[in-house]
Amino acid sequence: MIIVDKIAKNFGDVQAVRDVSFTAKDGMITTLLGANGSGKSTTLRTVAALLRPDQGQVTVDGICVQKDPLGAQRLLGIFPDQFGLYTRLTAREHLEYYAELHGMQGNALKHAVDEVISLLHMEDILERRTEGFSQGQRMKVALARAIIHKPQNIVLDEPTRGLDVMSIRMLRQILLELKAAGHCVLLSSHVMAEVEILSDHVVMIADGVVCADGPPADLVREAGQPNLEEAFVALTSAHGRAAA
Amino acid sequence: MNRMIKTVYRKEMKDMLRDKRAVLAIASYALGVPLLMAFIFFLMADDRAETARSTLALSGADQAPGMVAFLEKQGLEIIPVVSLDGPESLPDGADAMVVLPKDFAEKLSRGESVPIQLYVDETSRQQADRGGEVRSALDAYSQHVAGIRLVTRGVPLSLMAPIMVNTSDLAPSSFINKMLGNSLMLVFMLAPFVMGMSVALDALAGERERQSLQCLMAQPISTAHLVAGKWAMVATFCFGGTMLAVTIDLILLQFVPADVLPFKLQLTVGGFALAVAELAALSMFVASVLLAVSIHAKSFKEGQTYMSMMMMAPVIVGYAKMYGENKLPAVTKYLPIFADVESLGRIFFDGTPNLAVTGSAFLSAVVGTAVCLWLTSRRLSSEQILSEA
Repeated sequence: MIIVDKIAKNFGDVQAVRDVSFTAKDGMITTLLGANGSGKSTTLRTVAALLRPDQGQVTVDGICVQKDPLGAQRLLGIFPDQFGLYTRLTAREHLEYYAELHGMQGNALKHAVDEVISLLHMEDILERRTEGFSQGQRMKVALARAIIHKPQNIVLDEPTRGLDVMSIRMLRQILLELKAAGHCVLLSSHVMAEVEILSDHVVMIADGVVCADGPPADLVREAGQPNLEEAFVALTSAHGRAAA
Repeated sequence: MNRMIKTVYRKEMKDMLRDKRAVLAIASYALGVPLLMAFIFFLMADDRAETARSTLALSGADQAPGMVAFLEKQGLEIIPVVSLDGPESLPDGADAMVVLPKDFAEKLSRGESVPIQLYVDETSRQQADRGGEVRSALDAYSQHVAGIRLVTRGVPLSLMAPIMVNTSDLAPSSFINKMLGNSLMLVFMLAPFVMGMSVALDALAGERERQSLQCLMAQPISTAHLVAGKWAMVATFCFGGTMLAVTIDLILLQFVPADVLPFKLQLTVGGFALAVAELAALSMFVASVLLAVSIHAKSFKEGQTYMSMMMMAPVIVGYAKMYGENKLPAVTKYLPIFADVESLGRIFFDGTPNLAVTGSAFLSAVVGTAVCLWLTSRRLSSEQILSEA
């Protein structure tokens, strides 16, 4: 479970996050929904211990990220917005490297690699260097890398960006399987259809502040709108007027 | 070695050994530099040919045996040739040609002045010098004959030559040799910079360029371990490549004739072991410097610009050591790079290391490495790097 409690983060004069609080529970998919520059990625980077909040704190399964960043990172699987693969390494070498960074070795490592290969159907690309991989193949490697150590909490920053329909469907299926297995899945997105289908809990962020959160159906009802997209526009606009 | 450091090290080595740029950099330096040195030695060998005897083609040599004997005593090689009127070029192998008139011997015996024609070719400085050498020898012969004529007429020789000039060359005869010796040390010293540059750039600037740094930093590994693993990889390339270059250089030097070599190696087994240890320390220091530069670049291309600027530092230091050693304060020999050139020079050419300078080279390498790694680690953990990654 990931608890974000009143975090704020400035970059010089720019206030990226002003007041964000939410809880991403186990067995649920929690989505940060917001426009570009609303503070979603900054929030996720704070969860991943890449940034230190100026105020507030983040805990991952009870471990304070600011106090014990490495301890929290052991419990997290990170799927970044850019896949960032090493083009001279094979898919298998990527998985082995990240598994070792999580302290795995020997049979445990081999077993974990076999398991994730089977889960993501990566047999055909396993021994190939990642140079020249399609976006879908790159996504598979990045996702496999994020879950190789079976983390309880998985954080994905705009995971469907740049993917084709088939890759999106496959990713969606895997996220639902992770949820069903009791994992805490936290992702960011601004694709309404995807959020509506996947999410159990939506956190709407505008200008670095949470303006609404809850199950998608509740948010639609609360806003009095026909769908999540209209609800998002209504709720964030209301927040903007209130802030003004 | 810490398991995390080892994990990063193994991955980095595997990745970089597949990088054609890194392998090419090592191969070109390790093989190209010995070829460059061989070319320099070849030029030097050719230059030494200047000291060979100048050759004079002499037309009418049969009527001037005394002149031939004198000129040969002066160091000229005489080639008798058939008289040519208005030659367009010098005979093959001749540096100058003299045509004696048919009445040369007769006029000389009568005590008359005999005009002779000297042909030279001043196309190059070397040919001009050799023509001048022949001219000087002929002038000397003229003085010699004049002296004999005066002596036979009762005039003391001292009246003709009130001043006897003897010239001694006080120029440091070993300057060029020492400079070339220092050049070889500079080649050894620059090797780790060249060998490690590409992999150091890829290790950090490359991580930022391919946007893999953020994901890597989100893994449960401290920046200190991450930097240490990458540094160990760069240092391995620096040291391995340097030793390859040094080994190839030393092997090839064995095939160069001793009289062509501008210096004499006095390398002992102990000295070689000390040189290897010093090059290892230098490689570790250079690896840390390269990473400290690499961390400031957002891309490989930007990093290459920084590296080019940084590379000027050891080159300037090396050339200052080679050309301005006497003008530099004594303390400079204990500074990084200076100390390495000085120390390696002592080990390779004197056979006896200067322990103070060698110790200084080791100390500066250790301190420099610690400072650079600390700076790199600090920079890597800064939020600015991650927000730009």
